[in-house]
Amino acid sequence: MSKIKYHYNAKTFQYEPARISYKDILWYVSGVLFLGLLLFGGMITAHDALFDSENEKTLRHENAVLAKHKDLLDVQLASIEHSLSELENEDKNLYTRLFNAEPPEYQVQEPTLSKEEVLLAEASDFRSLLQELESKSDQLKEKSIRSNAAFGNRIRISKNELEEISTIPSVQPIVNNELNLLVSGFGERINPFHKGMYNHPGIDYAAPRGTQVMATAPGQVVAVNRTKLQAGYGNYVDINHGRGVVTRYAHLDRIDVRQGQRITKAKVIGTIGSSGGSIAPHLHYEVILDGEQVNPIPYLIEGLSSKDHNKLLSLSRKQNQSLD
Amino acid sequence: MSKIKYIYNPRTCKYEPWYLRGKALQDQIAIFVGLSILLALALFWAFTQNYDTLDEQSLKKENLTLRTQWQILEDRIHHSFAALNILIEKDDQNYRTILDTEPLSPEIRSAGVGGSEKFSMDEIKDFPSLVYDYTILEKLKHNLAIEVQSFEELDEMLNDRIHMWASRPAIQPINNKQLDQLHMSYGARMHPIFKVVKDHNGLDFSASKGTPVYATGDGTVSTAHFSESYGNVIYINHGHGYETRYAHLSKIGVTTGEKVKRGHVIGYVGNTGNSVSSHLHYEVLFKNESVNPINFFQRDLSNSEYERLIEIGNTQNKALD
Repeated sequence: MSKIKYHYNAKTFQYEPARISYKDILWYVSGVLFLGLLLFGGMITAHDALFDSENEKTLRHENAVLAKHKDLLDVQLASIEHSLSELENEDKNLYTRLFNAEPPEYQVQEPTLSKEEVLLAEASDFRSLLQELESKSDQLKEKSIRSNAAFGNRIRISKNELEEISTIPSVQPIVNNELNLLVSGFGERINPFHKGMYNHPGIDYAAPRGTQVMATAPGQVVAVNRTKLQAGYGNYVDINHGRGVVTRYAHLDRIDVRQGQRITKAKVIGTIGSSGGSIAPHLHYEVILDGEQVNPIPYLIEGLSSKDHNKLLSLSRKQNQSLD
Repeated sequence: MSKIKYIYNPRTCKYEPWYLRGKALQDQIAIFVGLSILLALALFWAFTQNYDTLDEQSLKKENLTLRTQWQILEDRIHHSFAALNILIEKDDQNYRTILDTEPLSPEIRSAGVGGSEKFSMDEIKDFPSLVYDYTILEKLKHNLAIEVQSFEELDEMLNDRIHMWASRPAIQPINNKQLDQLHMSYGARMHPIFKVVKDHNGLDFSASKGTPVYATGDGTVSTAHFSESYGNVIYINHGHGYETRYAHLSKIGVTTGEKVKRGHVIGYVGNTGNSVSSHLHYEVLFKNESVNPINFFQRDLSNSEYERLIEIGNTQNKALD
């Protein structure tokens, strides 16, 4: 088709070679574009409708399985959660019946207000606060160095005083690193047998039968009692530490010391049991000062931070049932 | 564009009108359509290379939602698992220690946990994470079932213990207020009537005639009768090896076989049998051997506390029997 085409120009009465105008090209291109896009749209729709890619198939399958099993799992989980919450109630119930007291609530620790305040504080305030603290701590440090030196110069512990210090039953009678074994304190408690309030003259540590019991201070064994009677202290040991301080370890299973034996601090004297009037294996520990039982907790000053000591103190204050 | 086109015909030396038709028209259309198709194909190819198909896009969106929901379920599984483990720990470490029994052995806890074969057969076998979650769920269910059983066992044990604690003689049979004198002698002593040394197996509570006598623990009246030596006497069997005896009563308030609660009035102080003055002779026996009753009542109970206990015993008695 290389033949040249002409248009008849009515003005000049001549045939002129026809030129391809821009307009023509524009029309042609937009036509192609229009049809092309139309076809493209058609292709995509047809492709979606007719073919499933491998990817789509997997996804479709996975979605179907997930959707189905999501509901199945939900039903199963709901029933599990239901029996779990029943079990949790049963747990509370058991605790209450065992100790005649509400179980402690294990609260989720929330950030303390002071921490939030510090975090929210203006940076400039914070800096001045820090500077103030720093200068204060410097002052204190200096002061402590001076007073320490003075104190150190003056301190002279006589042999007598050393003896006196060593008679203090200052450690716990069993290993209680997590501080969770103390279950009943000194003073008015519920008696496990008749459920009346009575004076509980010592503290109770609950621990598995066979747990080692240790002397809380050096001293001499002044009483070893063994009995089959299911009442009273059961198998117990009294240790005299001198200066009117006696400690008593009751409801023991096994006793490892003899009457009159001299023992050192932290020596194992027996194992935990449930002998005598006891409802569970536990150690009933008493501190007897000049013949009268006193609260042993304030004596526990060795190996405990003040925080731990406070924790023991608060545990011992709980109004619950003793293990007798 | 309706301008007519002409071509020059050299043979006729004329300009002749020219129309697009026949093969030329076909060619023109073919080129036009071909170009369009080419464009469409190019676009389609570019699209498929760079974008997901529409179906895929919606499927992926759905998939993401489902996976998120599944994640939440997984979290619930783990949460339940943690909660159960806390209970198991309490069971093993606290309750079993207090109740003086061995914790459940790991063999019992893990017995019968199947593998994942159970799920590999059906449709989820292609999804290892699902199989895994189901395996965990199965384990959770299994552990939970065992723990439920264990708690039932604990409950039963505790019921047993509570019953035991309640039935053990633990209070004084006479109110301190009405007590004139407590003869603490136990063991060999001179008999006041026969003037010979005899074993005295109980404690004597001097009190005026008619003072109420309370059962010291829950139990069953095994005998309530009159005997030459004891006078009007009541035997209460508390179970768990314990028995108590109340002698020289003026009046018996219970009958043989009757169930009594601690604090229940069972009779009144008197001077029957071999007795020189109005008093209660109280004995505690453990496994048929007499033990000193002093061990079986709290002397540090205040009067009001004692009266409260008596009250509880009596109201419970009324409510239960």
